[in-house]
Amino acid sequence: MPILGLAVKSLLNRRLTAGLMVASIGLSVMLLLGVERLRTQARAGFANTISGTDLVVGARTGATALLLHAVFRIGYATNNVSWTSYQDIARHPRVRWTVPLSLGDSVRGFAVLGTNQDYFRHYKYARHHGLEFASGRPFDDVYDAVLGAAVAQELDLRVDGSLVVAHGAVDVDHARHDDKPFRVVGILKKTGTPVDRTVHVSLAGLEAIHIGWQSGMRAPGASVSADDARRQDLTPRSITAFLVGLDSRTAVFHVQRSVNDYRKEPLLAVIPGIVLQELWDAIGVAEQALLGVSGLVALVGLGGMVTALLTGLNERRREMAVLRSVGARPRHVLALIVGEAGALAAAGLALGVVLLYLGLFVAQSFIQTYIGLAIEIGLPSRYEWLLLASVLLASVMAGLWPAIQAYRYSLVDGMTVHV
Amino acid sequence: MSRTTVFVLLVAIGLGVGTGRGLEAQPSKVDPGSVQAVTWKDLVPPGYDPDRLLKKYYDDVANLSDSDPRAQRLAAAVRKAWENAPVVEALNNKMVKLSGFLVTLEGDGKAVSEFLLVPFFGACLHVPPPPSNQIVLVRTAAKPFKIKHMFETVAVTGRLRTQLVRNDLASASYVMEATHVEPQGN
Repeated sequence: MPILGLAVKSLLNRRLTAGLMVASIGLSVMLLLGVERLRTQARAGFANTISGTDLVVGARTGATALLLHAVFRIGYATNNVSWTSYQDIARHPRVRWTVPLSLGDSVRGFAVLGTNQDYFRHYKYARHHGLEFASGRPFDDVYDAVLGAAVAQELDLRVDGSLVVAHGAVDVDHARHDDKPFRVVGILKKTGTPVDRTVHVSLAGLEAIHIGWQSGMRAPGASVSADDARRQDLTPRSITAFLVGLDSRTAVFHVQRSVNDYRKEPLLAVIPGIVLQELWDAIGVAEQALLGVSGLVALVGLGGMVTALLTGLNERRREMAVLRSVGARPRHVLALIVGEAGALAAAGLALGVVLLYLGLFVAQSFIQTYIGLAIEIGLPSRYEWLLLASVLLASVMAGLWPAIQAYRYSLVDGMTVHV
Repeated sequence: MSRTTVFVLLVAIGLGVGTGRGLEAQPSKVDPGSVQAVTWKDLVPPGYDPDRLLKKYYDDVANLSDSDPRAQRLAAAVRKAWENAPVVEALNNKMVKLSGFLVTLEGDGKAVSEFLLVPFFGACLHVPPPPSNQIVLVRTAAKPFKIKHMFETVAVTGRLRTQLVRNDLASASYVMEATHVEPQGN
């Protein structure tokens, strides 16, 4: 152990190069752990967003596109499902419940979801967790809105507050439904899913604010007041997609087939678990590549360390001679250099872990804002410990090379150095 | 054995069940408590033959055209029969081992906690989906199974139950609480 202490003191004497070595190892370790962390967390985030739903049905498009839009609010729909088709499929004998979803509008960047009260009853996330209210209740009136936790927090809205829905995905002055404001009646508890960033209104509410927009813009001079709109027929003509729950999960293939074979309209039914699995299979290669690249970066970091130690050896031949003069044997010199490599790597690992947690802390809100997925900041997983341990082991092994070199020098040089 | 070979074999087995050639396969005798290796044929009650429906209704099935209203009625009847295929009650509460393809339903991105086990591979659109007695809902809540890729072939050991489905047809389906899931080479 005194040798390790000596190694640390020797390193402190060469702070600048040692500091740079630690920094490069730290950064590479952060990258390695960060890639692994984001990979697992993103998967968990996606997988936890939908649970207990047997089928997601929408207009015919790609399976991934449908799921991403309907459930994760990523991308957009190419077409809608007509209300009559929705009603037809909801009446299928094996269908136990359905939840209609109507997307397309927004409130200051937050998606507006038109649905009905079944949403609060049947939508489940993270292994069959239901939605819970932090305050208030489900919507009831045409102009009632229920906010996700993040919406309420970021827009600083409470129950009884009011908000204006914008037409389309971007909130601009000239396309606001400001003649028909909504009243907040409920705020949901945090879920760590895109629900947190969603404003929920009734289908009738969405229909009401679009009265007078049939031409694709607000008809000039023909505005219908909020109260007049109530008296009109507010049955939607179409919805974006709907969630389906069956009487038995084993019926899923049959109902899926009957939706896909539906004659009156081209529809697509997907099994969420399969689509997510497809997604993992597709991005698995990219994940592995990223992990491989970050592994290589860690190797480059270690390579830098070895280079620095090797080049430093020549200058330190006098130091070794002094050590030898006070009784150090060549194997002590060997241990000293290996100890240096180990100490550098350990410091680098510590720095890397600190940087990782700092990075996660910053990325957390960023990812929550743009993707709506919650990244949990937990302790390193077993796999991450394994990565850390292998970096440490690799650096000690790499340290052997300069150490053997130093051992040789000290054998050759003895106590007199001829530089 | 390549995946295609497995697929072809399994489809062949499936067809064998459909045409009644699998009828001699009786569920073998079991000691309670021990694990019984079952095949997909064992999940079909002896004597059940969905194709008999076809013959029962019309003799000229092969000559019906797709647009014939009789063909459409028949297709609906067959579909209904397949969606509500009977189960083997004798297998209720038995410890069994069954292999097939895994279709993910619930999971956390790495491991699956609920999946369907089916005798053949995913989205074959040329024939109808397998009859309901050829689909087993497997729960691995106690020990989620780490999945490597889609439609992995696995051998599942666990307690098989026949569960009544609450609908107007009072059909039943197979549910299995898995104690052990192992991947099989494919």
